[in-house]
Amino acid sequence: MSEYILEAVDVIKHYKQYDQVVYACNRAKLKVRDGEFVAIVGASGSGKSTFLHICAGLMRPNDGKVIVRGTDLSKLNADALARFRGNNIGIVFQNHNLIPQLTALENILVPTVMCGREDHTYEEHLKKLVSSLGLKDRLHHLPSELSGGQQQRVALARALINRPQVLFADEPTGNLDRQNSEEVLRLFTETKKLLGQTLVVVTHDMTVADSADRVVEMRDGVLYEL
Amino acid sequence: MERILSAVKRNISFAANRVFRGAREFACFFAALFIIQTALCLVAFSYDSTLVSRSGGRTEDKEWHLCYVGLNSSQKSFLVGYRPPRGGMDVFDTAFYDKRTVDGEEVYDIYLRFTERDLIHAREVLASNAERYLGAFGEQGGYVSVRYSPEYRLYVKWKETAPVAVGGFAAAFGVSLLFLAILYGIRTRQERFVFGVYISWGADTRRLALSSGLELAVCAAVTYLPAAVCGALLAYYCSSLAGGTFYLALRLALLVLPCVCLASFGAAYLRTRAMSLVQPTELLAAKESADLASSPRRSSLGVRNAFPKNYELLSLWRFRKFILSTGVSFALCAAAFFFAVTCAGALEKSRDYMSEYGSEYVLVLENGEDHEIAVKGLKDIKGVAHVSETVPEQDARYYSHLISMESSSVKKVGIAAANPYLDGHSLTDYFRLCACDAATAASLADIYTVEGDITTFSGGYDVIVGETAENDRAFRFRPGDKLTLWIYVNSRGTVEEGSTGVYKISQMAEQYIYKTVELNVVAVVKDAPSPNAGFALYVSDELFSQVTGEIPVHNSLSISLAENAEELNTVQNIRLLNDAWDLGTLEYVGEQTQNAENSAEGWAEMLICAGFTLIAISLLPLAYSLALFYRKRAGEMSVLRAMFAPNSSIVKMHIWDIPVFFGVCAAVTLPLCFASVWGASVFCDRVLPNIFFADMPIISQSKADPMLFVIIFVAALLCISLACSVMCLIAVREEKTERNKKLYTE
Repeated sequence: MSEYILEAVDVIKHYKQYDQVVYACNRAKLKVRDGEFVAIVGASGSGKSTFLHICAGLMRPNDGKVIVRGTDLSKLNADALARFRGNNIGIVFQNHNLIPQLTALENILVPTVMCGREDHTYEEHLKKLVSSLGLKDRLHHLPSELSGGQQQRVALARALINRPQVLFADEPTGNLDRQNSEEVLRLFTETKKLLGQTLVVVTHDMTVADSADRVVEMRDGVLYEL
Repeated sequence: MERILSAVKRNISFAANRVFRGAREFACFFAALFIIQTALCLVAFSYDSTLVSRSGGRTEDKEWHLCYVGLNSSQKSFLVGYRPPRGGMDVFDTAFYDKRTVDGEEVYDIYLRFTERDLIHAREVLASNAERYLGAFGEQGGYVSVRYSPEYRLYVKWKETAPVAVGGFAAAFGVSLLFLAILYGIRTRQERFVFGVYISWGADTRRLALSSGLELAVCAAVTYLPAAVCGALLAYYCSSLAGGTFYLALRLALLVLPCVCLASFGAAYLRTRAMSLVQPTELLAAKESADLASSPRRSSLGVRNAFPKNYELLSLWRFRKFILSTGVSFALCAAAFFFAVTCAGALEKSRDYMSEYGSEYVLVLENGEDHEIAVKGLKDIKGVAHVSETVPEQDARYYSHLISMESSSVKKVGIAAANPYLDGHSLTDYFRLCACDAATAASLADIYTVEGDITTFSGGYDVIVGETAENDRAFRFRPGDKLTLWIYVNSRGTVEEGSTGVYKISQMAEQYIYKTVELNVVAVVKDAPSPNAGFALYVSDELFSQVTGEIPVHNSLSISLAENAEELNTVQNIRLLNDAWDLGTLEYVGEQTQNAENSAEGWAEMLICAGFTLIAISLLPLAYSLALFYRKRAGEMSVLRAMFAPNSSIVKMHIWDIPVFFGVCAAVTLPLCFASVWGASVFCDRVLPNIFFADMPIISQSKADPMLFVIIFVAALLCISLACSVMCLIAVREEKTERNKKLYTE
């Protein structure tokens, strides 16, 4: 078993726009140890989010490979990749991506339903999460009835409900004000301590980057250590 | 087991949760299914009525009666007669028949020559009445067989039902498939984001299919069944005069249900397969682009190569959603308009019809004259517009009776359209030819030679029959036979040809209420007055009272004079006729009753108001859609302006807008408008009379004038398109000004 929980090797992703080929990731490399907090920073359009989505298995690269906990994601078919994601990976998006018809609690429980988990396997964990994220009073509210910070906390709880080994966050504070950003950052670090997850965050927010164990910068689809 | 149950419960509750939160979608589902189910039922009813009421439709309400089967006088074809709800009796002379022997019996395969209208109920007539009249009825190998005498067997060849059923099933399947394809096309687009979330958090294809299938099942359970029942009810309610029954409608719903289920689950499976192949990020991105007119990627597919050559035309593609929604709004608006116009026209027509008469008189028939002859005589008088039979008291009843059949042991006879207060009979045209009057029949008992013991004849429940051609050929009554007489108890006897709506319904309902009495044939008169005459019976007032419990009362005729008639001369002529025929007393009632007229006018006004309210309501989404479209369009135009687009480009965009708009609106609106006109006539002729039984005036079906329809439609579209263009130009100008202001200020 490798000492790295996440390895991205020569990841290439390009888009075709009319007659031009745009490289979002150009042989990007990243190795993350278990329990590490890595922040990826960079200018807009540099390919940070694309790289994060590829690492999280939400997107397939044109070339290169991503290995998470010793599993090469490129070798998994769509169904196997979905199951792997459900059991090992948590994702937090900038725009939360909560299902508007479901309450906060139901949104949190979506991954358990999708992975067919029994109630007793997550009940205790759910209580702990809800309590530490301060969502007790908001569990039965629809996303439209929650503030941006609360929505992001629900999204974080949803990402953590299946106890993923790696948590990916795509600009989690991008849509929040300073106070909520700090609050979300505190929750990230607290849950990381509590659950011992590996954290890979794409951010523009230097406060978030400063809290990370390691910061890498993406420039024109290539990652550079800072 | 517990784990499985818990998993099932969890999944269903999850699906139900998601589905129930989407109440708007539910409503759309329900509305669409409801409309489709209603339309299907109506189509099925009319189809069923047009061909054969093979399921036993409304006509089982004893509205149609088989009343006669026999060889015609030339012995070359059969006659099959039945009494339709509209009154009188229809006799069908068969085109030809084949004679053969089955089990030693002579059997005739008879091919009936029905008109299309008569074909509607013919089978049902045979099915529901043959046993009553003939004692035997069966269906074998595509034939309906009716045994009408020991010597003859009647086979009526009927159409095969299997192809029709298959056709209906295929149509239902096609409709449900089309509907679901459209619905799921839209829903899939809306649900991309949710599927993205599912896939992001570990849902594989199986899980997606399960979630999607369960959502669909919950949705179908909550929407399809109620929609099917409601649709069936509405269709049943609307088609009270057609051949449809609620049972048939439900059967149709159940027939469609497996198709819907198959199509739904097929659509769900395909959807999940398609979704599972897409990367979750693409699905999640759909949420962000949902608010756009259309996604740039999609719009670039069609226009990439043509861009920017035909930009003005192709730019419309990105506004397709707005154009379509505006088209649909316009269609609704136009449909509401035509619905209102048609309803109002129908009621207006009724009002005109009802107000075209002048003074009204009543002729009370006191002397037992044949009222039909009196009606004919009165109608011939110049200036008389309308003569109708009226009942002076609410509970007054006439009875009518008619012929016909026999079985081996019990002879069954009904006699038609005789009035008890007349000392004789007023039979239908056909039977009048065969009848002998009461006096003749009475004297026969005394004068003519009889077969059997004439001394036992005591009147009342005993009867003598003449050995006429008809009896000799078909009935063969002999002394000692039992003869069942069907006495119809109703207030009108017939349904007037011109009746529609509530009057027709009430007449039909009352027409075939009957009671029976058994008579003993005590003698057969050998030497009947005319050997060629048909079979005839008569019934005394006493017998009528014994059977029905009713006391016969005198009838009266209501005479309406034409509005422009010379009243003095007309009334004088009526009096002359009355004196000559000694009909009864003529009374002046007054001017045409205003109540009905007022009622019709009230209805017309109310419907016009309702129609215009509908138009106002549907104008709101139309205005909203247009505003939205032109706000977006104006935004694009102003950007182009800012980018130094020449006037010709903007003009080109406007020029293209109009035909595209026109085409879309026309495609959506025309079918809906024609449907609304049809719906209005159904509403006026069937729904309203059913709901407002007592107050409703006569309504005649009205069809929208096609020319008026086209003129209004084209004018409205042109107005809207031009108005939109002007709006757009103004908006562009304003926006440009605002933009310039902003630029200068900055």
